[in-house]
Amino acid sequence: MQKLQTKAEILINKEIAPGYFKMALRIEGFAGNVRPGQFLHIRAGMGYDPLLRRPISVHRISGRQGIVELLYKVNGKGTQLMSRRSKGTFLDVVGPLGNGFKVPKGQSNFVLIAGGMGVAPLVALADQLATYRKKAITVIIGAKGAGSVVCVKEFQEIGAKAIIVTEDGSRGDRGLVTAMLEKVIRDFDIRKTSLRTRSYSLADVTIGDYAPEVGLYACGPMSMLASVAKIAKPYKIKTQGSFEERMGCGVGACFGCAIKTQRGYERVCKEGPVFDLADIVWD
Amino acid sequence: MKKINTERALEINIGGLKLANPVMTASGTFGYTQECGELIDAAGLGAIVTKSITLEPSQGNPPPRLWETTAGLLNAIGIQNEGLDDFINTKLPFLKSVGARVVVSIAGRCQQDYKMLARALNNTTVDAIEVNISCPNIKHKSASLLFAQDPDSTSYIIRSVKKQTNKPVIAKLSPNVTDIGLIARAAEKAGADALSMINTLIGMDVDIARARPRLGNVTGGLSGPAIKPIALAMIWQAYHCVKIPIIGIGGIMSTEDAVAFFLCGASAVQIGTANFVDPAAAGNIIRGLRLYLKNRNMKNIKELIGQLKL
Repeated sequence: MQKLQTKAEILINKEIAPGYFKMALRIEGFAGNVRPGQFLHIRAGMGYDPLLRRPISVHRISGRQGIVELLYKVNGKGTQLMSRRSKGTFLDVVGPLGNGFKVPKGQSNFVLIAGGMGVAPLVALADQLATYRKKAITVIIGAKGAGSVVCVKEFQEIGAKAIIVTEDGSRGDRGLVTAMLEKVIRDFDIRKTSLRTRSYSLADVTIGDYAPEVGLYACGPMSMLASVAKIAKPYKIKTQGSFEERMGCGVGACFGCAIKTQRGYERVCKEGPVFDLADIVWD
Repeated sequence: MKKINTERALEINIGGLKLANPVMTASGTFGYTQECGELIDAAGLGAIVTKSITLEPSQGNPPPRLWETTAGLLNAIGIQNEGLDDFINTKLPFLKSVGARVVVSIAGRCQQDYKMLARALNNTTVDAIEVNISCPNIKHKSASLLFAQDPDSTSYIIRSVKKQTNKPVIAKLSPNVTDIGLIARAAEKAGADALSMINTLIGMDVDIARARPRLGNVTGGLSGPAIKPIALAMIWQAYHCVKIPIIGIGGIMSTEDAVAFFLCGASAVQIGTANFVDPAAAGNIIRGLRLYLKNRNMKNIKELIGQLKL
């Protein structure tokens, strides 16, 4: 797919939770070609510190309006600069980059699992899944505490079942998203045709009767993705995960963002950022 | 008539490598252009210097491979590439199909590797060979030094490459040396048609919270605007030691940066890290240089080379 470098107008850039910003960009050139799971490579400032662009995954896509939304957390010089950019100014972006989520034919029961900022690309994916005729979408959102739980409303608005888990228990269940995933999978044991239900009322969600119907999509820190892969493996659930790595070029030229797969080192920016979790070699 | 002059104002001959303009992309920053295709006009560049190739496919170093520093970038990629055969069979035909001039960068672990690479590439359509004897991220079979840190190794490798090819041979030098003049002269004496300098500076950074290095390879090579002053000083020094042309590399981000390199003695430049920051950088610098010459009524870029006033 064609990659372009263009100037995108900032339509919205506002803090939606402490440290979390939502940015809407009008991208004339390629908004219509952006797919969930892909990213934009953004020049946050004009100087040389920070020097490199910042890869930010797409959060929502309104192709017809030419608008792409980003959700980012301020945690360094680059995102800090981005957060200070005002509405009406233009941002230098390269995109759309990388390979997004691939939803195989026949999948109808979707479990999305997000750790922290991992929710950002999963909203775009949920938007896509919501257009399917036959679907059940469950989203497990994990965060450190209530203050960093974002996007619940977005998921609910598109008809997804949202389960919230916080490490400190300040909102939703207390614990890790991965523990909740295990519970969800076990309760709706995909190897059985009869479903059991549990107190958190997922009775209305029919997580598939057999594996091919179920698709698991994850985004979050590396340790979380490793756990998700381990949990999903015995159930033979097809699991895709979106990875983050420091990038140089963002287009596959520099081999800086390598990740170890069964096929050798691959590039997060080019072969990824979405990988089949079964292909990753975890160290 | 005047238009023809401006069109040709950037033409340059680098040791037999005739280029329409003196701006190339530096090795490792542009892949083999397949990756960046639509973002840049490869045919409009002076040449593409490919990512270094090795005889056999090479998997590269363990991640993390990159770390951003103040106005710089540390990398320890370790020359991940698919090897010589793949280059000849797929990468080179692609580069030629988009109309690019191709300088192939070769890297090896011993003199024999370089010799075999040069021999195999001599019968291909590559326009020149850049001999990477200065990558700080690969280990060599017998030496603890980079080849480019030792005048004898430099001479030995360049000489054996020259014997295998009639393409222009460019020796890529390392800044991690005590006397760049000594190495530059050794390369020239061994028959190098040009020098390209500088490769990255060995550097590292530390994550103090975990007391661990930032790079999987512990140390890496520093590039970007942070190293420009070092590159300029080394080119200025080498310029007075050799007669062969020098291709300047090191943190060039703008036309102004490039002009400084020409003034210090470079006959051409390579754009590296800037490609990551702005894929349009190399193209902008070509246009910028043309305008710079026009505004000063200079007929050719050659009038700038080494013209630093002391």
